[in-house]
Amino acid sequence: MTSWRDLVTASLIGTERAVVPAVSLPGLPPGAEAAGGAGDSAAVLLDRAALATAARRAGRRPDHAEPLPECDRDPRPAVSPAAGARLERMLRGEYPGLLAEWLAAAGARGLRPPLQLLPALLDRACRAGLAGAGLAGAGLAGAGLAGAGLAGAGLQRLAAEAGGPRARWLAALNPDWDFVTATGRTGPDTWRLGDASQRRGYLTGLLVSDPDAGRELIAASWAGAPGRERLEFLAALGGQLRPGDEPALEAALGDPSQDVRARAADLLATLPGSALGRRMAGRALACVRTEPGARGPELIITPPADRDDSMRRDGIPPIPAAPGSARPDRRRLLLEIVARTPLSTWTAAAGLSPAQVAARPAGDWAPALFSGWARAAIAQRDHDWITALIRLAIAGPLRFPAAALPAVKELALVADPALGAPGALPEPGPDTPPAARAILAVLRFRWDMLEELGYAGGAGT
Amino acid sequence: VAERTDHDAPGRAPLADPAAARRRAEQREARVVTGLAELDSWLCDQVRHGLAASQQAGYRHWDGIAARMVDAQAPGLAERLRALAAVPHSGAGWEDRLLEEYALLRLLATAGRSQGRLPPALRDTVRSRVGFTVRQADVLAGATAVADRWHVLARRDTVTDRIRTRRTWLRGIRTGRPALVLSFAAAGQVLDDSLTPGTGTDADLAFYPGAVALRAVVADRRGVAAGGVPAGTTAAGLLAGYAAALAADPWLEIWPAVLDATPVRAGVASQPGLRDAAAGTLPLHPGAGDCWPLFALSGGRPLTVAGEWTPRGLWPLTAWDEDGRPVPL
Repeated sequence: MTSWRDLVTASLIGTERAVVPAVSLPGLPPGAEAAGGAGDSAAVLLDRAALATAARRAGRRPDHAEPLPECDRDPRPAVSPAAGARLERMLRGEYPGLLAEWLAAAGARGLRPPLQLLPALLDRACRAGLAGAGLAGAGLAGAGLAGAGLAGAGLQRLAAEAGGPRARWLAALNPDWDFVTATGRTGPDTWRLGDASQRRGYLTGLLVSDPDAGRELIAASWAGAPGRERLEFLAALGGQLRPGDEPALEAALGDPSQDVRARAADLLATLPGSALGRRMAGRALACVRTEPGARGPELIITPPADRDDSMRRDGIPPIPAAPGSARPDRRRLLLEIVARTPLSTWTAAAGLSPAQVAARPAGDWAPALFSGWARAAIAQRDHDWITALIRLAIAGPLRFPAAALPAVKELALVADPALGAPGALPEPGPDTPPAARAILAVLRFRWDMLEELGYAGGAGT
Repeated sequence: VAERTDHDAPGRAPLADPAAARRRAEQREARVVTGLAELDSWLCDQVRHGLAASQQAGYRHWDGIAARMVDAQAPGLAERLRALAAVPHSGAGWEDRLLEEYALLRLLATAGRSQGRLPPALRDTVRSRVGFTVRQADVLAGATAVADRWHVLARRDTVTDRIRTRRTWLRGIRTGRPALVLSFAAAGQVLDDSLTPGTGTDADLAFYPGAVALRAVVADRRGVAAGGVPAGTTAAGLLAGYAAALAADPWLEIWPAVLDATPVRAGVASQPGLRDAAAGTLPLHPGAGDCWPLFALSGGRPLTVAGEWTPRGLWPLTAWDEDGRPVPL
C-alpha cells in the first residue's frame, strides 16, 4: 500500500520537515480520511496511520505458496504416550546416554517415536556425529569406552532408522539432517564421493549388513587413508569385532598415528583370546597377588614404577604424576592395566566368582582397582562382573575418587536391565554414597524405559 | 491484552463511606484524563521529531512515559508503552510496527478522553485497555454466564516483569464462541493447570464486558469431556473473522485461530507458513521459530492447527496428528 509507506517515511523524517501524505483507502466513506485534518500535523499523521493500520490488518489477504511433497506413509505404530514422554525428557537432557538404547529397543519392537520429537532427535544425533568426529581418539582413557566416534555414527544410524520415511522427508528440508539420507544410501558412490559423515554412515551400515564386504573395504582403503580416516575405520569396526580382526589390529599397533595405535590397542583388549589380552594379563598378575590376611585373603598390590615401552605399545597412555609428587601415579598405572586385562584372568585360575574377587580387601588401592575392573567389565560387556561391581558399589563402604565416577555411572548404563526392577537391589538409605544413588537412579530409569517399550520384565536388550 | 485482576479478591467489601469512594473514583478518572492528554502530546512529539532516532534510544525513552502513565493510574497504557522498547530491535519492518503502535495509542488516548460519546461496549473495551480493572467477582455477578461444552484449543505462557501469564483459548462446541481464560502467577507460584489443550470441559463461562468479549472466567465447571479435533477454517476465513473483530475493537492484536492447513516453507532460511486447501497461505509468527515439530507432524499433509493470529503471523500452539491426538507445540 503506497500511502502506508509514505506515512512511514514521513513519520521517520518527522512532521517538522515532512509533509503528511494523504491516505487512500478503498471503500472509505468520503471525508473520513480528513478526520483530524485540521490542526497539529503530527496528530493528523497519527490519525491517518491509525486508519490505515486498521485497514491494513482488516483488509489483509492470504499469500500464496507452493506445497511441499507429501511424505511416504510409515506403517509402524507410535510408541505409547508414556514412552514418548520419556523420550522427550531424554531429548531435554535426562540420561542422554540411554538414547541409543531407547531407539534400538523401540526399533526392535517395530515402533516409531512420536513424530513431533523427530526434529529434536535429529538435532541430537547431528551434534553427536560432530562431537564423535572430534573425540574419536579418546579411547579407553575417556568414559565412552565404545568410542565416541562410533557412538556418534551409531546414534545417527539409529535416529535415521527410528525416524523412517518422516525423517528422510524432514532431511530434505533441512541440510543439517543430511546424515539421515547418507546412512540409508547404499552403493560405492557414497563411499567415493560422500563427505566424512556420509562415508562413516555408509561404512557402519555396510559392516552391519555385510560384515565381510565392510572389512574388505577397510582393508582396501587402509593404506591410502589419512590417520584421521583410519581412526574412523577402527571406530566403525569397534561395534562388531570378530576374532579374525586380530592380525589387522596387531598390525595397527605399529601405525604412525598415536591415536590409531591407542584405538587398536583398546579394541584388542576387548577381543576375547587376543595376544594383547594375554600380555596384559601377565602384567596384571605380576602386580596383583593374593595373600592370606587376618580376615581372609587380601590383595597385595605392587604396580611397576612407570609404564615401559611394551606397555606403551599395548596402548597404556602416559601416566601423570601422583598428587604432590614428581613420580608417576602408580594407582593410575594399575587402573590402566586392569582396564585392559581380560576379566577371566581374575576368576578362572582361582576358581572364584567376580563378586568374591571384587570383595577382597585391597586397602588404598581399592578405588583404582574398582575403576579398572569397571572399565574392563564395560569394554568386555561382562554382565557377571558388571552386576558384581554394582552390588559392591551399593553395599560397600567404597569411596570413589571423582575421576572414577564416570566409569562407575557407565556401569549402570550397560548393566543387565533387570537390576533396575523393584526389589532387585537394596533401596538407597541415608548412608548410601552419591555414586551408588546415581547407579540406582539410572537402573530404575532404564527399567521403566524398557517396560514402557513392551519389554515385560525389563530384559531383552 | 487484558487487564490483570486480583484472583483471590474477596466479594465487594461493604463501603465505609460511599461518598469518599465516589470521590476517589472521580479523582482517578480525572488523573487518567490528564494522563491521556500527556500521552497524546508525547506521541505527537515523537512523530513531529521523527521516529528515525528510535533505534538509538534506550528503553528509558519509553520507560519515562510509561512511568507517567503509572502515576496517572493507567497501567494498561504503561504496559503497552514498556513493550515498545523492543520494537526498534524486532527486525525488518520495525518502523511500520512502531508507527502502528503509536497510531493505535493515540487512537486509544483520543477514545479515552471522549468516553462519554462511545457506545457502552466500546467504552468498556477502551477502559479495559487503558487499565481500569473489572473485578472477577463483578464479572461473575454481572452478565449471564454462557453454558457450553468448551473445547480447550491452545495455551501460551508468557513472562512480563516476573509475572507469568497463561492464555488459554477455548471455543464453545455448541455456540462456536471463542473465549480467553487468563491465569497469572508471580515468582514461585504455579499457573492454573486445570484446562488442558485438546480436552473438552462442560462449564459456564462469564465474559468480561467489551466490544469483542473474549476474556472469560470459568463460573461453574461440571466436568471434563472428550475434545476431539476442532473444526478448522481456511486462511481467508480466519482473516475474515479477525477483520470482523477489528471492526469492533481496532486494538485487538491476538485472535484465536483454528486452521486446516499444511505447513510450508520455501527453504531453510525462508519464513514458514500454513497453506490451506485453496492455496491460501498465512505466515507463521517469526517469534515461533522454525516450527520443525509442526512440519514433522504434518509430513506434507494437512492437519488442524490451533494458535494465535497476530498482525505478524500465526503462532502455532496445538496441532492434531493424523490419529486425532492433540500435540502441544
